[in-house]
Amino acid sequence: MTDLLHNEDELLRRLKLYEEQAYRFLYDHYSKALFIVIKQIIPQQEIAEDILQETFVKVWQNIHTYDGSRGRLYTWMLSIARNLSIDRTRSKEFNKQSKTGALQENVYTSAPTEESRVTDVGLKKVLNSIPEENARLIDLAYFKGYTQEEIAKILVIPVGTVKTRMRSAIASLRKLIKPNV
Amino acid sequence: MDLSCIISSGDLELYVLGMLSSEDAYKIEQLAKLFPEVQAELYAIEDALLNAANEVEESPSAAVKDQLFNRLKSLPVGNDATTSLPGAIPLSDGHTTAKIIPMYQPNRSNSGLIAAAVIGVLLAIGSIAYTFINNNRQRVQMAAMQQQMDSLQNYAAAQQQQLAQYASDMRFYRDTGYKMINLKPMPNRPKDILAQVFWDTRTKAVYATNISLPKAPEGKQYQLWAFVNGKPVSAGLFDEKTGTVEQMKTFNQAEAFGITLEKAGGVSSPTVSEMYVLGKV
Repeated sequence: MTDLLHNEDELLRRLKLYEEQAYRFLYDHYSKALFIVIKQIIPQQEIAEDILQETFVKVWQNIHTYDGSRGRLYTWMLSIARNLSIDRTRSKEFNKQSKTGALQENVYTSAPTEESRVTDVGLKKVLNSIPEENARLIDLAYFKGYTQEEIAKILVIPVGTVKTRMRSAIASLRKLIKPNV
Repeated sequence: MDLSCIISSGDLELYVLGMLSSEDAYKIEQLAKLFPEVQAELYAIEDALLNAANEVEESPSAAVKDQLFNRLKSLPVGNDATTSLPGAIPLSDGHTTAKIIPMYQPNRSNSGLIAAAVIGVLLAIGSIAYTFINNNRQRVQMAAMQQQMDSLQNYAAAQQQQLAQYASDMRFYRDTGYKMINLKPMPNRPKDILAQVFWDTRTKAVYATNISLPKAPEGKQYQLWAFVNGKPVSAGLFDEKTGTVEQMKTFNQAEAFGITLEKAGGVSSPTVSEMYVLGKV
């Protein structure tokens, strides 16, 4: 399946044919990244796993509506995962379950506050290996899914600066890349 | 096209993170299709994000994958009943299908409404189809325009170079310091062939230009000769290209200049029968 790596057109073609191998590649390649994003919103392991599954089901069901104008396949899956997570936090059933749980505020509705601090231990470790300023930006944009405007508000910087700082933040992540992960 | 400004703008990062407006995202998508460098950068950004996630010590349990693929196998392919917007409709519980309750029961009294709705839907489909076709056309057009722009740029550069050459060559005609000698055809040659020599009266440098000499055959070259005290002295091989002025050897004195066609590389004394043009100073 390495022929599908960095070949999004081919991957998409096979996904649209519902080839199991293509979906397996998709899962192997993206599930962990999606799972971590889901866990930022839903900390409970089982519910997060359930949402991860739902995300891939939705991809299967809606693959024909994906056209790339909303971003890359990965971007599209990220937004499905985030939206499903947020929908779940709003459901009655979930609120009952998590009364005693340590649920974070919904990222889209909560006011940007200290909330946006990195709480996840594993994530902290990764973000600790890059400059603090960059780590905060990565956490907000990537793991927490804030918009440009929201990030500008939280960090008290102009919206345009979010863009340039995002580039250097991801550049610092790129330096971490090990060959053949 | 210089892509460094696009690559360093930060827009590609925002695109991968899904933080761009759909209009801007569309632009990036088009650029990625046209330029492999942009595409490669997008993959590098994505890899960086995936890699960062992989570093986190937290994973879904292995059972999730098996469960998922068992479930996918039971799903119909190409389920169009679901919404096209990612996550817009929550799957309250993916294991059971929600019951579909019609908004209202159609009856005769609202057939007009239904007709209007049908027309509305048809119009919407039409406009979506139109947009889709148009987008595709725009994609092709954009690629074609890019190609056209490149070739125009090349053409403009070539024109500019030629113009500069002309401007520099004009001095030979304008500057009275250059003595112009017309080299005219020998009696046995076509009447319309001509070459010109410009002799700088100050520096004694000799320049020559082909006006209408025929193209030299394969393996042959034109050679310019200066006649000094009745003896021909080589002034150098002569490029037959028209429209340019070439600097030849320098002569302090000469009575005439002539051009012969010789074997490529030139000869030490001219082949008289191969004399094409001659002009007296």
